[in-house]
Amino acid sequence: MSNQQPTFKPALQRKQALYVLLLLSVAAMGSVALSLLSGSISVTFADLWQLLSHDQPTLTRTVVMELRLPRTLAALIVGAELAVAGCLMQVLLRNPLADPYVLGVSGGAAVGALCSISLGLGAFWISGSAFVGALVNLLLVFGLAHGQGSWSPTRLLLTGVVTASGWGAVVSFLLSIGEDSHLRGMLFWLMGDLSRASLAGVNLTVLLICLALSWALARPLNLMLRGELQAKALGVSVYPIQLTLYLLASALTASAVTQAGSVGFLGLVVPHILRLSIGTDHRVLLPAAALAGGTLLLLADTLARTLIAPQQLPVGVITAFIGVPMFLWVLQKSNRGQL
Amino acid sequence: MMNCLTAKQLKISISGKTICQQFDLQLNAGEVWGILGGNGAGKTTLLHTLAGFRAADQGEIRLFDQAIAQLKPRTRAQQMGFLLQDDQAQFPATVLETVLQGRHPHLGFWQWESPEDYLLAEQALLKVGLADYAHRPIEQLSGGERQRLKIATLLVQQPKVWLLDEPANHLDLHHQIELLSLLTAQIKVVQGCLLMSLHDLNLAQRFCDKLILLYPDQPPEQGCVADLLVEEKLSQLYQHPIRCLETDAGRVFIAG
Repeated sequence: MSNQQPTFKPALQRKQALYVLLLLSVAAMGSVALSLLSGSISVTFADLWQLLSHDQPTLTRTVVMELRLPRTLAALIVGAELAVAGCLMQVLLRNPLADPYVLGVSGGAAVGALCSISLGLGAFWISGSAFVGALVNLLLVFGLAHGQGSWSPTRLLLTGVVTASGWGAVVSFLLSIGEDSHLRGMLFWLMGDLSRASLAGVNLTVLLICLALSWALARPLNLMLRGELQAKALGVSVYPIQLTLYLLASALTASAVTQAGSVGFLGLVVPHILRLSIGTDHRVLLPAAALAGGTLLLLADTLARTLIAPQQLPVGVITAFIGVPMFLWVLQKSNRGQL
Repeated sequence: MMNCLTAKQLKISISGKTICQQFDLQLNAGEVWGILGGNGAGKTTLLHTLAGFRAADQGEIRLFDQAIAQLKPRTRAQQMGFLLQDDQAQFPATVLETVLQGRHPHLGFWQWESPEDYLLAEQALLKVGLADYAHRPIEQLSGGERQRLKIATLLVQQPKVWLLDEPANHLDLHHQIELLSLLTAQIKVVQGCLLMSLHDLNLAQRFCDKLILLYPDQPPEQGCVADLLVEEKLSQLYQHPIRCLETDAGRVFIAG
């Protein structure tokens, strides 16, 4: 038996993983094209080609390069950040219900952003104060969960959930005292909105660094899902990895929230859809989540700004409209067992 | 004789209860040890401490002459395997994915599982009788099949020191005998040692060379099976009359 070849073919499985990633990349590129082409001014493929090869300043060029492209990139990056953050948070808390916002990052950011909106400040201040709010939450939850030294995912989860509901109360308070003229902006922020997105460069850097670091930890992450002790028994340094996960997931979420407000649902559902369809190996799952999350948010945002144009919908509404039925369908179809 | 795992002057306590004090232990190559004791006697705590999962109050544990507290988790896992009593899997995974995780301590940081790793996984699944289930989700396995899956993961890990927390849990009689025979035979092959907590006195008698008895009201005792598996000590251990019957199949222990 020692000379026997294994019947399980690792090469085949790796090839399948590669196909999945390739397919998702193609989908991502397709959705970028779709996003650039659709909108109030019609642009064709030929126009796009022209834009790339010449650089005369035309109206089409301005619309595509200065309006649609930044927003497209922002959607792609924010979606990827949320999906990866969701994956990491679910591993950290070992809870299938965890999403990027479960530890209150978006709550802290929301309080910051809403304060700025109610003071009538501009986009820069809204983003800036959202980021500060997220950072405050990060330190607060970490400090409180650490408390008397012992730290466990359950303790972290409870601390985070309670802190998040505290932020929720502050948000309700801000909404109830907010001026009517600011309410719409506040609600859009809370539901997730990409129309203010800027700073794509910073976000892209955050995404790439966090993705690279978490991908390097992918195999230990697989073991962490089996439980803390099981991971320890198989030689994983559990605590440093938990700490890294917390920081990476928080950084990704803070960056996404700063750009787009709290886009719900994506960070919860994309990891699960992928786990159910391609398996739990994080070496494949993490890049796949980045691609799928980006694609889904971009498609949702394209719909959000074209569906009832010229009026725009908050993208968070659309992600839920697409995400809920898609998730339920995958859950029904899946033969990989329940969550 | 090579000693695999040693503990010196160990003091372990949990929630104010002292499990052992000034406790010395030496597991030598080729030996199979059993831990016996009632519920809450500290079997799991002792095993977890010996594995380095929790710190001892006092004393030192050495794995192949290196202090276990100073060992990197990965280095430790290359030499020591642990069978946990409960598993907490909440996310979907297949049997094959799970069993391959046993190779983790032997793979480099960037390394992926090689065909040899897959071969080891396949052989381990064959040994525990789960080869046909390789692509099944683990949630679909029964309790006993999950226990066999954990044992397969351990076989793939190929440690020298094996710490097993109630390995016979959930297993039917056939698999209890078959898998414990497999594991104890493995010890002789790799010149390692094995320490397991058990509730079944007959299994302890059949497979163990030496025993640790964790009494509820007095310090633990260790020694050869022949010296410790006697009615008087066992009755005190479980605070319940235990009887030893001589049958033509050998000695059999029953609760009185």
